[in-house]
Amino acid sequence: MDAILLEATPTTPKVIIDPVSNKFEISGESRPENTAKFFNPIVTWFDGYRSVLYFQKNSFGKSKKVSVDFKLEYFNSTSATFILDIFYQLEKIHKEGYEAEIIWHYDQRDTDMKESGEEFSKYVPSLPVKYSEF
Amino acid sequence: MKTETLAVHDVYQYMNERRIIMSFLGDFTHKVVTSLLSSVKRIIDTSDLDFQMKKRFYAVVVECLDNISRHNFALEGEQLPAKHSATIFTISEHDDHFTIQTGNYIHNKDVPSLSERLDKVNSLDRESLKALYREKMMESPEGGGGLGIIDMSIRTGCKISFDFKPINGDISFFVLQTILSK
Repeated sequence: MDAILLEATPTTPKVIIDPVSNKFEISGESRPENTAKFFNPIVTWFDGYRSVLYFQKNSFGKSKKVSVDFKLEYFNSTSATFILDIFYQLEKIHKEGYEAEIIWHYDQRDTDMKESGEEFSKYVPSLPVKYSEF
Repeated sequence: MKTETLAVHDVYQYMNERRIIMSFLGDFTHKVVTSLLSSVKRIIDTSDLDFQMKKRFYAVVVECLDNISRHNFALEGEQLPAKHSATIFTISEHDDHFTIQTGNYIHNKDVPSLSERLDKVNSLDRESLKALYREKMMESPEGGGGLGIIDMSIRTGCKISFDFKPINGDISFFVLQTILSK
């Protein structure tokens, strides 16, 4: 699958979805003009990635771990629903027996951001969500 | 020319007296909102608020402005007359709080549902607001189903003030005010 690599803009986060280097990161500020148009390709990407993981597991006995770093400074409430969709996709991956986790990064002075991560994690009880202060 | 000069002076005095530090009247496109937000960021950065409050301030302003542009978008196809299409947004700074206000025209038929939604949000405490937010997240994949107003209310911890001033049989002027304690 092709990588999704997007530079940050004043209204959209930086996105690294790179299956070759196995790096997954969404960072910065999120209040896109068209939230669905921005996030849907990312959600769809993770949905499709399960078949790649299936292939890896069958061919090599093990799939690469999918660890997604969220490092958001700000996201609006419309973005929140799509971030949740990404959490759901990761949970699906995890439920099907592949290694997956989310690492929720937040500024140590920003407890609201930490709480947001905790709120998201409530929707996906079986998915490992780790927290990392910066 | 003389009268126009006086009018600007009146506006200046009016804003000063009411401690309005930022105001914009016009069409709230996404581009306009983005450029307004960069000014808002400068105001926030130079304030004495702590880091968390700065973040909350920014988040509340974004939701206020998103609310307007989303609302205008929803009206597409059934546009308000041009003279009623502009929106006003102000921030004023007081000793212990900031006040954020938006004002825009809406169709009278939209008043009851909007008013009902705001009343509901105002009737809930923090924990119930968070529960309502969770509920809304589950049901609206596209967002915009009132999440913004709930988010604002959770972040400020203050009730939202609002008012509908009837203009004529079709249109009212809708004012939304939120307060952010320092």
